[in-house]
Amino acid sequence: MKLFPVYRLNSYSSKLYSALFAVACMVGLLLMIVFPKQLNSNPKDFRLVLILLNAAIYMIAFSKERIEDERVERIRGKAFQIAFGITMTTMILVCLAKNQGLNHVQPVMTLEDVFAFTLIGFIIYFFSFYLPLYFSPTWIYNDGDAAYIKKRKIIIFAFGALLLLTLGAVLVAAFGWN
Amino acid sequence: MKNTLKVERAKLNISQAELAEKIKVSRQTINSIETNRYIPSTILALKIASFFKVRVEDVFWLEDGD
Repeated sequence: MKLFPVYRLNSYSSKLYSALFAVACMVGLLLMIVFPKQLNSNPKDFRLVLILLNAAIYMIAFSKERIEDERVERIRGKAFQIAFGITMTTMILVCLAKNQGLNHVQPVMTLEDVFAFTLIGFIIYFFSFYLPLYFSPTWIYNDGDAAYIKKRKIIIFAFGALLLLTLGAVLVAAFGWN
Repeated sequence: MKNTLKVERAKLNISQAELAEKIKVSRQTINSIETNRYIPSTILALKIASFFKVRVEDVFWLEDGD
């Protein structure tokens, strides 16, 4: 049984390329936020890189693992469920707060807000998928594969930290310091 | 749900990796099943039983409270 018959998952190698592209986008975004004057960055460029980052993370989310079996699919399904639930709830609460309840006093969201929320969704998915997959005790072995798991853990930890840093910076840029 | 996967594997003297390769799942999945952290689907349970040439209920059985 396939849990995702509509969305055909991309190959494992495309995940690696997408991850490299995502890192480039995140570094670009952070530089644009930290050095806006030096880089002469404008909101249009910022939005474009944010869209590209979302696309890269989307590719990662819909890419296969090295061995994509039913257990991985089950964890993936659960991770999407968690990510969707938290993102939608947060989005509705922020919309209600911005509109002072149901008064609808201003446009609901800017483009930055929308992409910040999709980024939040992908990040929640990232952690709720990879944490059980690679950091669960069932993945600890003593038959020669430990080095591979350790390497993957370091990569996932570094990528996750960069994602969180980027999200923080994007949220500050989207919602402002005040 | 309990299982005798490890025992069946020992009888044939095959590793988790070899079994995983034969039934086309990851070694991590085999390990998760053996340690009762993951309950396989009916298809996978049938594949495992078929590989060991035993009935499914000889490999997997329900515990009280399942």
